[in-house]
This record gives sequence, C-alpha cells and structure tokens, in this order.
Amino acid sequence: MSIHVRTRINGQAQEFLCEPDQSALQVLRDTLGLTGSKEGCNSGDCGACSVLLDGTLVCACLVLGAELEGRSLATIEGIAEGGRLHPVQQKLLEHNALQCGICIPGIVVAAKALLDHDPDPDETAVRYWLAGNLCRCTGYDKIIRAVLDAAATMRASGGAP
Amino acid sequence: MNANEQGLRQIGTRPPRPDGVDKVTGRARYGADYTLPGMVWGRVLRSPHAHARILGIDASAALALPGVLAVVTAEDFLAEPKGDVASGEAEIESGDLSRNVMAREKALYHGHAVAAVAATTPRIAAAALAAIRVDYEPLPAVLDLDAAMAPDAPLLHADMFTRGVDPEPRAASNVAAITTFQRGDLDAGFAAAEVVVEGTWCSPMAHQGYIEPQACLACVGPGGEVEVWCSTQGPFMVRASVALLLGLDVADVRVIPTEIGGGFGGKTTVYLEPLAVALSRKCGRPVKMQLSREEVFRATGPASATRAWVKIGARADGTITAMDARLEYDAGAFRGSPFIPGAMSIFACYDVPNQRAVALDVVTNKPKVAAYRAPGAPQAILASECALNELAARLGIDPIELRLLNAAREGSRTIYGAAFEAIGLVECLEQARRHPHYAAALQANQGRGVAAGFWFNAGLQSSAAVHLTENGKLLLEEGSPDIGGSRAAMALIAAETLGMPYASVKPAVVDTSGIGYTDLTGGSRTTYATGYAVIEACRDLIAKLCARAALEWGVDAARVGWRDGAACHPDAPGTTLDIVALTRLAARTGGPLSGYGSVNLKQVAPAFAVDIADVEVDPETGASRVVRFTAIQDAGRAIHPDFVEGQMQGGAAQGIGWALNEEYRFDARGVLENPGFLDYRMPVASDLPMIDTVIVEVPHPGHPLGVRGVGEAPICAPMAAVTSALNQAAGTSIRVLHLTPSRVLAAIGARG
Amino acid sequence: MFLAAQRRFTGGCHEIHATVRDFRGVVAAVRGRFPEFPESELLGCSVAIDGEIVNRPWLEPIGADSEVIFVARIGAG
Repeated sequence: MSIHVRTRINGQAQEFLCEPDQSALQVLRDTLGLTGSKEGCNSGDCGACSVLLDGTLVCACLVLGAELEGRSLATIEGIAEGGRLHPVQQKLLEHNALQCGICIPGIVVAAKALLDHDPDPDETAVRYWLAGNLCRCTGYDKIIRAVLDAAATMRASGGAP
Repeated sequence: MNANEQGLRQIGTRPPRPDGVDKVTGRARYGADYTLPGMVWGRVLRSPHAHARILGIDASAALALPGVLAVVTAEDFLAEPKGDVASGEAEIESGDLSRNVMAREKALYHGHAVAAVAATTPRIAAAALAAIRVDYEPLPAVLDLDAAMAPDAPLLHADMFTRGVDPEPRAASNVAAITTFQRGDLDAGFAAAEVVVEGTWCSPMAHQGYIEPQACLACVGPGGEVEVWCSTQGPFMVRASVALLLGLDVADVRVIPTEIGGGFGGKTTVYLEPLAVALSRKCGRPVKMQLSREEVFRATGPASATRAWVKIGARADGTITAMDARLEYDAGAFRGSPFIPGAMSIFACYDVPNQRAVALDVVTNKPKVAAYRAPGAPQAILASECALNELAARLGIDPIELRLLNAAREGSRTIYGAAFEAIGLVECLEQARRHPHYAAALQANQGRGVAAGFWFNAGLQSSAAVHLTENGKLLLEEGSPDIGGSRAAMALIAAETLGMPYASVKPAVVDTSGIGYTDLTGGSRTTYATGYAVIEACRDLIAKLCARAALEWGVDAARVGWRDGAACHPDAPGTTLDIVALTRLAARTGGPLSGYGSVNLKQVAPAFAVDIADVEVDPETGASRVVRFTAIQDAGRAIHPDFVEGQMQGGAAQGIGWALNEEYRFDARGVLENPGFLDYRMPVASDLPMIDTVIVEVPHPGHPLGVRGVGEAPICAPMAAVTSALNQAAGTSIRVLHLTPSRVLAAIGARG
Repeated sequence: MFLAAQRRFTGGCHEIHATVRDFRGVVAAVRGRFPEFPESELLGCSVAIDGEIVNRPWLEPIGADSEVIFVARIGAG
C-alpha cells in the first residue's frame, strides 16, 4: 500500500509515493533521482548517506521515506547554493582531499552540520564528529585538514558559509 | 633530480583535479547511479551451506510470480570457457571464474551464488529468490589451513592435484600448489650465523573495505549487442570476462566504466556483470544489480588469511647470513591466493646471498580471495619485518641501521633471479633515520616500530588518444578508471609534454569502444603505464603539429622543433606557431589533429617504503591506538604530490586497520559472523592521527619522467611497524593478528 | 633458468644453455630439448632477461651471454 508523502527537499516542495518499508535513502535515489547520497552499508554504519533532517545530521538509510512527511531535508545536492561551493567543498578540492570520492557527499553534509553549530572545532572534535563517516581511501588526514581550513575561512569571513 | 631541476614546470605541482567539483557536489555518477528506461532489478540467490553438492534447482515457482522476468543458473554460463582473462599480470583460470560467478556442481562457501533473478521491483526480486527451490546435499566444510591440509580432509575439488610437486601426486588435495624460491645455501648461511630469530606470524582474512558495493547496469539489445555500465578497476577485463563466460564476441560488448568508489584490488574481477548480462539477454530488459554490504563481505574476494614462519640468521655485527620462510595462504574456495608474490616479496628488501621462501596455496570453504593492494606482500612482510625487529633487539643494533647494513641496492639480486636497477630503499631508510619522528620521545605505555616494504609494480598495456578542439584545447582519452586522482596526473603529463596549460587539457576515462585496449587500474601501473601512453600520444601529436607548421612555412618537417607549446621555425628564431594558431590552420593543412599512444611496458617500476609507527597501549584494557605515523616512500617522480601522499596515507590506514581492528570471523558452520561495518571494524577518523608523509624521488630509469608505481607499496610495512610498536609498548611478543584488546591483555598477563 | 614448477617438464634440470636471437628462440630451444614441455607453461610466465623483468616476451633480443630466468606472473591490487 503506497503512502503519499509531501515534504521539502533542498528548499523545494516535493511529493512522492513510497512503500511503508522504504527508506528515505531509497526514495531519494530510486524515486526522486537524487543519487548524490550513496548507499555504502544500508545499516547506518558508514555515513555515505548522511543528510540533514530538519537541520539534524542523520543517515538517510535509517529514516523511513514516510517519516519525511511535513519535514525538511537537506542533501548533498543542495549544499552548494546557486553554483557557489560551500567552504567545506572548496577546501576539500584545494587540499585534494578526496580520492575515489564516494564518501565525500556524506562528509560534506556532516562537516557542514558540524560547522553550523561549532565554528571553531579542534582536530579532535572534527575527528570525533566525522567518526560516523567511513573513508577507505585517504586515512582521513587531508579531509580533517580541509575541514579545519574551511572552519578558519568561515570564521575569517564572519561566519557566512 | 627533482621536477624543477629537470625543467618540469607543471609536473610536481598540486592543481585541483578536473572531476573534483562533480565529486564534492554529488553529481559524479558511480556504478549504482545509472538507470535506463524499462530497467528491472536483479538479485542473487546464495548458498546457505559452506560446502554442498547442488543436486537440482527448481525455479518454476519463482518464474510464476507476476513481475519475475528471468532466472539464470549455471546452465546459462559456459562450463569450460576457452581462454583466460588478464587480471593484472596473473590470469584467472576461466573454469574457476565461471564457477565462482555462478556455482555449478557444488556450493563452495556460504554465500556462493547459485541462481539470479530479474524482476520489475526489488521486492518482487526478493520474493522470487525465496521461491527458488535448491536441492543441496550438505558436505563437511574445511574452514582453516590446518583443517584443509589434514590427511583425511574433505576435498573441495576432486580434480585438484597439488601443482609444483614432482612427481605429480595421484591423490587429490586441498593444497592447490606449492612454490619454492631459493638462492644460495641455507645451511651454510645459518651455520655462519651467531644469532637466529625464528617465529610464526598469523594474519587474518580481511576485506579491501571499499565503501561502494559492486554495482552494474547491463543492457543486451535485440541484435545481441551488449552494454554494461559498471564500477570496476578494469573495463577491458569486464568485457573479456563477460564474453568468455557467456560465449560472446568481445567486439559485441561495450563496457562503460562509471566512477568507482574504491577498489584496492577487490574490483579486478567480476561478480555481478556476467549475471546481469545473462539476465538481460534472457528477459530483453536492462538489468540493474548491486550488492548489499552483507553480500560484499560474504561473497566478493577478501584477502588471504596467512600463516608465515620465518627464520633469520645474522652475525653479531648485523650482517644477515640467511633468511628462510614458509608461507601458507588461505585461497578460499578456488586456487589462486597470492602465494607466489608473497614468496617473491618477503625478503626483497635485503641483499642476502642465502634466501629461501616456500609458499602454499590452500583452498578452504570461504569466499575466493581476490587481490588486496600488493597481494600477498603485507602478510609475508609482517613476519619478516617483525623478525628483523626482534633480531635488532637481540643484537643491540638500531632497527634502521640493521636494515641499512643489509639493504638491497642497484644491482642487488632478488630471490626470484631478477636484479634491481636504481631503487630508493636506502634513501627511504636514511630519511627515516633523520626524521624528527624517529628521535621524538615516547610517553609511558608507548612503543615505536619500524618496517620496510616493497612492491614490484606492473607495466602492461595502455592506450591513450589526444585530440585538439577548434579552439586549441586538448581532449585526452584514456581507459584507466580513476580511483585515486590519476586523470589529474594524466592531464599534468599531457600539459607538460605539449607545453600547454593544465587547465586547457580535458581528460576523460572513456569506454571500451572508445579507446584501445588498456589493462586494469591496479598494480600501481596507471600513472606509470597509462602516463607513458599519454606521453607517446602527445609526442605523436607534436610530430604532426611540427609537420603542419613545416607545410605552412615551406620547410623540411624534420627541422622544425617544438618548445614551450609552439613549433619553432628552423631558420627564423622567434617565429613560432603555437597550438591555437596551428589548430586554426588545421583544416587547410591536412585535417583534424589527433595523436595516439599505445604501450606495453615490459619493465616493472619497483617501489620501496619505510614506516615508523608509535603505538600506545592501555595496560588495563589492552586497547591500543596509533599516536604517530610516518610513511616514507620512493615514488620515482611524483607527478601530483597530493595524490601520491593520499596513496601513502590510505595504504597506511588499511595496514593499521588490518593489524589492530579487522578480521573475518567465521562460526563453526562457515558463516561469517561480522558481515557489516559495525563488527568488521575499519579505522574511523577518531582512530587515527595525522599521517605524515615523505616522498623520496629516485627516478625509475625506464620511464621518461622517472615515474614509479605508488599505489600498493604503502600497505606492505604498516602491519609490521604497528605490531612491533605495540609489542614494545606492552612488553609482549604477540605474533597473531589482529591485535584485539583481549589478546593484548592476555599477553600482558602472561608476560608476568 | 627454470622455475621450480617448470622442472617437472625438464626432468629436474635447473637450467640449459642455448644460442638464440630472441625469446621465440628460447621457446623453440626449450621445446626442442624437452618435447613434453607445454608451450603454455613457457608463455604463461614473465622472464628476467639480464635482470630486467619482461612481462610478455616474444621479440626481445637475447644476446650470446644473456641470462634468461623464468619468473612467475604476479597479480595486482
């Protein structure tokens, strides 16, 4: 029995039909064509599907599609605004911090969530915040440096993302 | 000589990668991100038994379900495919490949594919799997090396007779092969030794851990033409595998490599692609398949569990007189563990006249192993490097000094007969010795470990093509999937060779119908060999550009030079025609301007690495963490240093994980107990410190830019460095990985 | 010089000497001396010619004093 859901995704009104047991990740990828959020494990362990649900960082694979009713979701596709990259995205590129890139959408969303509420995290705070985002290619070194650099840049420009 | 000394302007710089914006915005499309109209979903039915004869499969109930469009079993694949598929340098036996992709006579591991279905929704596909009836005759399973090698062990393959034994055995066995490499006289060597260290080190089965599960989309047209979009390290390998297993003509198969979310060797073979093509051929619709994380762990190709016995003898002054090893590799369900490269690499760092390495390839009822970054070497080098550290301690010699004393250099012979050309092991050791990390003070409960590593690196075949657009920009086409930033390196190489700006070069990884044959991305060969092909393509283009300028100027083409991105008039200094100008003249001087490069690099470009690890142990819980890590590696010439550093850091993290966190755990029935990221614990951001890197450059003589492979050597030394460091911190001598807190605690307790 | 695994075709013989111009000549010489030696076992290996590893040898020139050692092929990750 399909459920009719009305929600907001990346600031735009969206509606869709989904099954009761379909996850938000499946809805995003298979129904709405928003394939930026990735499936790495489908059990909330890898963070590749990180999204912001009403501003809170969650794994889309752990949220039901039906739970999006009346709420607002931010995905990787909405992080860059009007073609302008978020400082986290910019710094990941400058530091050449990505290799295969599959974890990066989740890391961008997670890092943005961190800097939204903590503009001056130290290395340990960044590492523990990103502990839910697995990366197998980089050993995290350049990613952490990029996030710290993005935080510094945002502080210097008065906090505007 | 570094890049600047050789007059290189762009190579050695760190520009942003051309595919970067797509990757940070989620626009880049990986294997599971493709769809086609009319697409249906494929799923795999897997054996619930670790070892069983398959007596019959009845799919009639599944086919009767509305929405189920096709079912395939072993009958849809060739039992004895003719030929082999190139995967790296080794070739996979095609009968085994066919049976691993789809079980035939037997299911040989829990999770082994026995059938596959295509249905209009994932839900219906799952229901179809449940409706297929398979008649199994369960058999006793062997789940470790000793069980497999026991005299009356249940046999996986009745036709497996141990290779490498003379005369060939009459009785079948689970030992697929034995190999021996030897030089010199072991007895004399050990007789001359004043100190001997001996021990057995064990490393567990581990997974490459790529975050992106395998995924593909296959579409077979009514005329038999096949298209496959897939995430792979080798589109040409996929093309060959699919053609081989299904009896197709490679010319009718087009493989489009998507962006790939990690491979590390685990995507150098096929699991889903032949299934998806077979299903699509049967139902006439595009078929999408992707593995769940659980399936990735249960049914792709992990790395071998290994038992490595090592014995090293030396004189009191530190000169090593003999090195001996016996290595046993768990291959999983089919022959083909990396036992040979393990035996060849274990002592490669040392110029010791008396060396022997015996290695065994043993089958068990576990998933067939696949390559994992320098396959075979980390497990072997764990033992030899830990043994060397014990030797250093016994002799009272600094571990780096001991290695310098015996290090392989230019001209040193290896155990397999080849001699090294110019190599950088000594330089890496010297960098380690003077690195601030090595002199830094250790805190309480901390220990330091050093280890050296080596990998051969491959050459093989690559193709590249370059085309100039009407406005003088360069389109660069190559066939090497980009797993670590290689397309940026290709663009740098092209820009440097032609003398044009990096930003004017547009690299693309194209499909198998758009470029000449290219061996897979792996073996640390991409920057080396595909880069070489790019150089050749650019040189071809330069020759043509000079010929066009010659026509325009009315001079002999052989006298026209190329400098700083322009053709130079031989008789009028200062008169040049640059790329933009020549492109404007293209149509009237002969037509479109393209260049082609095609190489088969026979030479290898070996890489050496040295790691320093500091580990802290909590004596109350046995928990450990790496507090400092330095990776030093000879890259020959670092085309794009950021990506070379990235390879070093990533390989270090994998080696650290293999030592401290990761292990496949099977129950008594051969069922994997931890097929997920929660319990197969890979390092997370909070586990690791910053990983410092030092790139050494001893140019490889066989490459115009001196490039060596860099991707695999980084994983070879960390396990030994970390294990030695932990043992020093805890005052223990644990030789069984992974180093769980309970294992460490027990060792601390036993030490007294 | 032969790999351990190849010696079953040579009756245990470790190495032979022959006058050849290239690797094609090596194959012919080995099979001439040991007719039971399958060609696939020769072509399925890499070789080290005077210390330099070559993956798919065929036309590589081999000099009068050259040393040819058979080396197993290695997989890549």
